Amino acid sequence: MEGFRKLLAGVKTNSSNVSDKKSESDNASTTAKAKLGRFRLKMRMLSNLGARNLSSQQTFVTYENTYKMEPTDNKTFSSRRAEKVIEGVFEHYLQGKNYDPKIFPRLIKTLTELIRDRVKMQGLDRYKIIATVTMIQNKDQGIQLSSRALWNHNFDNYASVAYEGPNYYAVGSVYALYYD
Amino acid sequence: MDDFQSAEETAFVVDEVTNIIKEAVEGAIGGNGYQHNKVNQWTSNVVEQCLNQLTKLGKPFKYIVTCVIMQKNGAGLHTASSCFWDNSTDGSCTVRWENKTMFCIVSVFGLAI
Repeated sequence: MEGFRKLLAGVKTNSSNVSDKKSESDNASTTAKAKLGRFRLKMRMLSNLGARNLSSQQTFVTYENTYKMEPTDNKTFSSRRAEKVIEGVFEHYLQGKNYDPKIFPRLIKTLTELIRDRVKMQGLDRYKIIATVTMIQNKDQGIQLSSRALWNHNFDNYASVAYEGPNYYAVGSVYALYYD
Repeated sequence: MDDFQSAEETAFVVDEVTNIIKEAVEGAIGGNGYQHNKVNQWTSNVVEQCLNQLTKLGKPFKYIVTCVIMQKNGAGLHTASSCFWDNSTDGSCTVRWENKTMFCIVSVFGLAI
């Protein structure tokens, strides 16, 4: 760079002197500009951090009470419809399948998600839904499955279906609880 | 400070519930071997004990307790559950217990009112 400047100085006369001075001043000004640029970048980063803190504080939302104690008349949880949903899911996904310890863990997860999503689609407002599926290999062992709940008897209910495969049983349950 | 305290009280505390379940199971079927004619009573006892202790916590929660008791026979058992709830306040807890002749799996789901 310095050699190039000396060349320029040799070629030109007045303009070279000026250009030398300019390059020197440019050098100084470029360093100053670089410093200023870095300073501006730092300020922007700091201000961005500040903005992020503010936005995280601002997105904390609380809702007012709706004071709704009961579901609307037509939209209480219907056990029969939920039973039909569970039966449909079982028949569609378990027909003709044998017990396989490699496939069944994933299959059972997808079954529970399906049952939960289909019951949600029934259009129930303000209901919390829990779907469980239990699969037991049939080897003539004894088994007992029971559940009990503490809830509001008027609006909360459950549905439970047992499905028999060639060498296994599947029991699916859905619990729906009204959120007031 | 008030908000923080109320959040602690109304969140589902897994450790507390785990202890309750373990005590209930130990109390109901602790040293017994699998007996088919008693299993019905055992599951009812486990579930009732769990629910009673949970209500004594005095938290504004609805509870669902499920219990599976299975004889040890080399058979496979899979359970899965999928829930649609409020993640910040609701929770679930599952405890697996076994002895020489049987398995016992208890799940508790707690949903805030």
